[in-house]
Amino acid sequence: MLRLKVRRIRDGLHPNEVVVGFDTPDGTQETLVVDRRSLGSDDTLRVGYPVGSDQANRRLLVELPRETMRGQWRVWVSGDSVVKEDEAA
Amino acid sequence: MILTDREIKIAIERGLIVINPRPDSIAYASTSVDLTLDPIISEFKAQRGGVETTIDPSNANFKDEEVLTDITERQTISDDGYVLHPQKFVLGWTAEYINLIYHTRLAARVEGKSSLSRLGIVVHMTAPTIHAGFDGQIRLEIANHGFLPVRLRARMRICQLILEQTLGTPDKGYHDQFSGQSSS
Repeated sequence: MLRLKVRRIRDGLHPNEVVVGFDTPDGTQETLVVDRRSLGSDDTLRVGYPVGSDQANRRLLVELPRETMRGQWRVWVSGDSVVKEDEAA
Repeated sequence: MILTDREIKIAIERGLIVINPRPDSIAYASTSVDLTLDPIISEFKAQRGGVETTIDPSNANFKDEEVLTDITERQTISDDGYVLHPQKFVLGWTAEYINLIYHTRLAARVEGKSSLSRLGIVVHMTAPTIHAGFDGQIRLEIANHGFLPVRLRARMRICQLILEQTLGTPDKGYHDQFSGQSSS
């Protein structure tokens, strides 16, 4: 299982929610609302196993636990933006 | 296949689903479990007279959460409840935290309760699916399509969760399943 590194952007509508974001390899910033309990202490988000890979460009296709604000479930992320779950803090 | 009450309880016991706090025994029906309303709701602000606001979801800079933050106000449902008037719409949450574990062959749908539906209350706007891997309190889109105001109270049973067994495990639950895929 992998965890995606994200950064906290703002509080969500509910006190238990937070808006997080991350950058895709093409420079797009994706943002989504998650439950605060989803975030590890190192601000990572569980994304399961990759659903695709692009080894030439060192990218992984991951499915997020919630839809992004742009309506995406699956996004390409760089290989160094994820950590194995057992290595996450 | 839809899980029965018995299968839902077994799935909870085995840690395949987390529902916290755990539902009371009276929350179950044969093929669903009721969830309750969190005290927090987001109410849409009234539009100022003479001002037209249009949302453009296709705009490249559109971010729905930021828009919603701007156009809504957080409210806490008091002991007197919250009166939802006809043709009004608020965002709410289940009081229960839900987690559908990634590798389980389960998905879920949140649906309304017929006792409230008959009054005109709906709890989602055509987006009822809860995918494997979801965790958090489920957001509800609550509207009153009826003819009379309806008083919503915190912790009232507001919706039902229907759990379904999927045919197989999703890609994201499989280790090493992606080796043959590429971006082309």
